[in-house]
Amino acid sequence: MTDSPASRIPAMKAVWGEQLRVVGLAIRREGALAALALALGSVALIAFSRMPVLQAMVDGEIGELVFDPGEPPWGFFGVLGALLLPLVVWKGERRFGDTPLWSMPVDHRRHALLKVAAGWVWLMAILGAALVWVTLTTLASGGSLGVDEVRLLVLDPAGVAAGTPGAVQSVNWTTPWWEWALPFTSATAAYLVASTLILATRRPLFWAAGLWVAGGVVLGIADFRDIDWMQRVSDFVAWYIGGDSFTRGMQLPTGGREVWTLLPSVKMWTASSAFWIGLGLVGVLAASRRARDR
Amino acid sequence: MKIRLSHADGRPLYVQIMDAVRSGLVRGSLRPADPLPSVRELSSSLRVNPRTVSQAYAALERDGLVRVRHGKGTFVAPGVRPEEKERPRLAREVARRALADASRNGLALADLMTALREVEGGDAHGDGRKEDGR
Amino acid sequence: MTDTATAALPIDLGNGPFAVTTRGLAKQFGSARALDGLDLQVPEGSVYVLVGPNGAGKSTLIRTLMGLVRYQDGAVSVLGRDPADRGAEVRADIGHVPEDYRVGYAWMTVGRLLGHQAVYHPSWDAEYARRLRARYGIDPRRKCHTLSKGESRRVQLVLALAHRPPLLLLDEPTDGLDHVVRDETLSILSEHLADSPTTVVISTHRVYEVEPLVDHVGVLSEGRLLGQLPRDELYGGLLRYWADVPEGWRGPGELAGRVVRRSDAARAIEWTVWGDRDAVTRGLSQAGAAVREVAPLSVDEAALALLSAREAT
Repeated sequence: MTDSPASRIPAMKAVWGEQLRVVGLAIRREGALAALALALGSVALIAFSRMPVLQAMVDGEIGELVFDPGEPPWGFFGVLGALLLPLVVWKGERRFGDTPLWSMPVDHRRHALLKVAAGWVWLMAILGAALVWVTLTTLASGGSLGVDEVRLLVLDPAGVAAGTPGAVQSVNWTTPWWEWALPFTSATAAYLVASTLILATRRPLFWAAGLWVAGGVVLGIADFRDIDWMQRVSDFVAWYIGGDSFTRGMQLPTGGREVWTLLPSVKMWTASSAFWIGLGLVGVLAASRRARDR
Repeated sequence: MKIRLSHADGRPLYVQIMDAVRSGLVRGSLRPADPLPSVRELSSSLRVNPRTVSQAYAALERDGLVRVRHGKGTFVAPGVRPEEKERPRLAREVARRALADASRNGLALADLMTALREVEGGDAHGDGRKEDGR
Repeated sequence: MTDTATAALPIDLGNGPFAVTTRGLAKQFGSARALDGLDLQVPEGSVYVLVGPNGAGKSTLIRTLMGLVRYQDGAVSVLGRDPADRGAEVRADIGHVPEDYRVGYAWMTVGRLLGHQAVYHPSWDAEYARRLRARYGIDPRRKCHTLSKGESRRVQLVLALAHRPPLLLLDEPTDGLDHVVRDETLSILSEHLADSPTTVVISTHRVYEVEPLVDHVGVLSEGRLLGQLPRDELYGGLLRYWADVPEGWRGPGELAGRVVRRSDAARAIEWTVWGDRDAVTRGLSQAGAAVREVAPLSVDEAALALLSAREAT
C-alpha cells in the first residue's frame, strides 16, 4: 500500500525482454516446422547431388542448386513467411477484447509497438539463420552462390517481334552485393504491412485477401489495357521483392528465351523498399493508435 | 472458540461474533485472560471480511470484555465477571429473540411463559408431537 | 414512476476517502447504452460488491476502470488517476480477474504464465504466488489450455492477488468454481485482506457467494445505480414487514419510508420498505396493521427486491 506508483510500474527493458521471450514461445512451434521443412529439403538436395544412384533415378533432372537471393522463389518464401508471421506473433491475444497485452501496466500503444518490434527481431533472426542454412546447403550440394550469366535486355519492345537488330542487348550479369540484403528488406516490409492489418482490423485474413484480389484486378487491368503508367507503378511497387521478378517471357525470333525488360538496380530497390517499409511503419504507428484509443 | 455464523440470522455478522464471545464467557469456555483468535485466523475460518472481526473486537473492547494488546493479540479482559453482567445480558438477548419469534407466530407473552414452564417440566413434549402429527 | 425517478435507495456515500469514483459515467456501444450516468463511490479499504443482472453494465464498468474501454462522458478516478490517460499507472495498481475465464496465452504452462505476470508487476510476491498455487492445487507444469474453467479461474485469482495490488477488480470471481474451491477462495480473500490492506470491487450476479466479505453494496441496473450503501445500513434500513391486516385494508396514506416492493394477500401483507424501522412499524400500526415480524434482507434478497421493483415500474 505504501508502494510509490513508480515502483509498481515495470521497467521498459524488462517488458521488452519479456515480449521477446513471449513472441519466441509463441512462434516456436511454427518455427520448428519451418526448420524441419528446410532441413528435409537440404538433406534431399544434398543426397540427390552427391549420390549418383539417385541422380540416375531422376535422369539428372535435378541439377545443381543455384542460390540467388534476388531470384523470386527465395524472396517469395521470405515475404510469405513475413506476411503470416504476425498471426503467430499475436497468437492468444484477443486484440479487440481483454487481451493479456492490454491488461498489463504498460501504455497500450507502446506495448503494441514493442510486440511488433519483438516479432520483427525474431523474423530477422529466423531469416538470417535460414539464409545461412541455404548457403551451407548450396555449398554442400556443390551448387553455386549467386549467378554469373549473360542476360538479354530488351531495349525496344516493339522491335523485338519484328526482329529489329539492336532491339535486344546482351549484358554480363553478376549477382550484386545488395541482393543479399534484399530478403531482409522485403520481409520487413511484408511483416510491417501484415502487422498493420492485424492491429487495425478484426479480420486480418479477410482484409489481406481483399487487398490481394483488388491489387490483382488493378494490375490485370493495367496489363490488359497496356496502361503504361500503371505498369510502371506496379513495377515500382513490386521491386522491393527483387528486381529479378522483372523477367518477362517474350517470344524472341531466335526462340522463347527469358529476356529482361529492366535489370535490377540498387536505386530502384532502395526506393521501392523505402516505400514499402515506410508504408508499413506508418501503418503500424497509425494502427497502434487504435490500440491506445480502445 | 467455536463460532457459527448464520446469514439468515437477523443480527449483523459483527454482532453475531460479539454474541458468540459473550456466550463463550457465560458457558465458561472462555475465561478471563484467555486469548481470542487473531483477526486473520477468525476471518479466514469464518470466511468473513477481517473488518467485520475487527469491528466486533473493537466493540467488545469498548464494552470492557476484551483487551487488545498491540503486537500480541486480543485477550479476554482479566477483570471480566460474566456472572454479573454478561449472563443477564445474554438472557435478555435470548428472551428478546424468543419474544419476537412468539409474536411472529401470533403468541402473547403469557402463552410463551406458560409454554416455557411446561417444556421445562418435560410436559409439553408429547403435546408438541401431537401438534406436529395433526 | 417518471423518468426522473432517482434511485430507490441512497447512492451517496459521503466524503470518502474513496479508492474509486465515477461521476456521470456514460458509455455507449453503438446505440446500446452500457453505462448511463453512473456515480460510483468505492470507499478506500472497502469490499464493494456490484450486484446486477447480466447486461447491467458491470463488466463494462470494470473494464472502464482498467482503462480497457474508453468512456464517452463523465469523470473517472481510480486511486486518484484517470484510466483514460494514465492507464499504465492505473493497471499497475490493480489486480484484475476478467469476465472471460480463458487465459490468453493458452500455450504457456501455468508456471510460465505466473512468471510473465511477475515481470510486469515488480511488487510480485513469488513466495505468496507459490503458496496460493499450492493451496489451489494447480501444477505449474500444466499447459493453460488443459485447465478447466474452474482451474483457469483459480490461476487468474493467483495472477490478480500475488502482486498485492492496492485495488482488486474481480469480475465474477467465483464463476465456475465448485463449492469447495469457492469456500477456499473466500478464505484466501479473507486472509489477503487481513494481510494487505486492499480495496476490492467484486462484480457478480450471485452475491450470496461472497456476501460475508461485503462492506458496501451497489445495485446496478441498465447502467445506473439503484442504490449504493454500506451493507450494515442496508441491513438496518431495508426491512421486510409482515403484518396482519383487516379485510379490505388500503394501507397508510403516508408512510415514513419508501415501499420498494409490496405483496398483499387477503388479510396479510408483506412489504419491503426502506426507512426507519420504528417509524415504519408505527405507521403501519396506526393504519390498522398488526406487524408480526420485521426482518432484514440478505444482500441478495435486497438486490432482488430492488431489481424487480425496477422491472415493475
